[in-house]
Amino acid sequence: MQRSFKPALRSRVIGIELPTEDDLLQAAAGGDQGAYSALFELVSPAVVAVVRQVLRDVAQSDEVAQEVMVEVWRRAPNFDPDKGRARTWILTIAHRRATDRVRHEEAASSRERRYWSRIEREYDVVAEEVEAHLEREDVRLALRSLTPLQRAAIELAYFEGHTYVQVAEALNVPVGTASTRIRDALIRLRDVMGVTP
Amino acid sequence: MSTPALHLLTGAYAANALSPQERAAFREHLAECATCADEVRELQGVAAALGESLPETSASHLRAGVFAEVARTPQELRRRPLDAPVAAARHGSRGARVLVAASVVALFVATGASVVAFGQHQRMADEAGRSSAISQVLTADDAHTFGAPVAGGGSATVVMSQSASKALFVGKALPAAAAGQVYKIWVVMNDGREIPAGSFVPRSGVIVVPIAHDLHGVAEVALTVQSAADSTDRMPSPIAMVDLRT
Repeated sequence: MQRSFKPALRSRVIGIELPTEDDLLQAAAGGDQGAYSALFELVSPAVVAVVRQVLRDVAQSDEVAQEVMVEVWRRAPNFDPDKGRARTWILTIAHRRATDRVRHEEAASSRERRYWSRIEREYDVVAEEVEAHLEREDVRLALRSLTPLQRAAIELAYFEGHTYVQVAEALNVPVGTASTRIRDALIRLRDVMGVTP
Repeated sequence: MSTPALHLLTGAYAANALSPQERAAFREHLAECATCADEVRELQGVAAALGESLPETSASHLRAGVFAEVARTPQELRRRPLDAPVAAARHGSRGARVLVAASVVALFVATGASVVAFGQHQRMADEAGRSSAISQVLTADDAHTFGAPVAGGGSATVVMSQSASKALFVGKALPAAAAGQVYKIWVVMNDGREIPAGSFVPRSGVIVVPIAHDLHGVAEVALTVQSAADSTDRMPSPIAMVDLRT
């Protein structure tokens, strides 16, 4: 092979298109561990962030985040890029595993204690913490555009990992109201942020 | 589900705010309702954006553990929806069938495992009957695999065939059970009922057990560790859950 690396170098200067996370996940789906490794670098910090937000306990979060990343590898062949971005797919798995773990913990012996200590955290404190925490200005602004009830419902569900039944209890509203407010909140956020799945 | 307006649960589903039973029921609805399925995809994107706005946290300390696990974790086979027409899927499925069979055989060879199964259902049946159930599933044109890690180590895989209406449980490197304890397989139905579907004592390596329950309406297959004498109908907290509807 006579290929010198000059053209490659030049094209890098002009700007090679880096593989996207979607590309990497699809390559990993074919068993490519190198692609998976690059994907790990890109997405695992967000996976840890989501899992810790819900679980809080660092050791447990590490365990779950590790399981999530292995699950991403295992299930990669069934990622469908037509149905959404790789990052959405991965963070959905991460959030789901984190909430599964929280509920599993609640279902264990310490159920009552753990559950009530979580619910008793005043919602205002949660909201303040969440807002101070968020790095994306568009998300902060979008959350401010929600009604107080919509905002409380989505934050308790997503950031605290509560079920809509727990959200209803925490906010003292009927369960049907809690579930529709979660939906209203996500629809409003979608419209304000213009998110693509 | 008693909730009247199923389509209003798209948000709670996207935010993972449903109970496992509700989630399973809602997934059934999603399979039939394209409007809700589209909405769920969009709302999952929004929920993920909330997650993306959290400050990222270094994960480099997880790298070694993840890669050690990845190196020994087989990937799922690409699968079509369960209701995909057989004729259209035939070509790919045959490939999948061969792969499933090959990988299970490879596991046997690699571990030299003795395959022992004596679920309550199988105890009376002879070895030939058990083998035929296994080969029926592995040679089915529509064999699919679903997997999950097992708490304490190892992995649980379910190989199922809709056409054979049978499924196998494949346990790999499961932790040894304490004296007097057995592993039990449970099926969790779409309506949340939990039904025992066989038990076994793990030996080293790989174990293959036919699941002693019809697949119709089964959402998940769970693995528990229980006393051999325990014959209650209430499922203890499982050490693995294999979701057949993901």
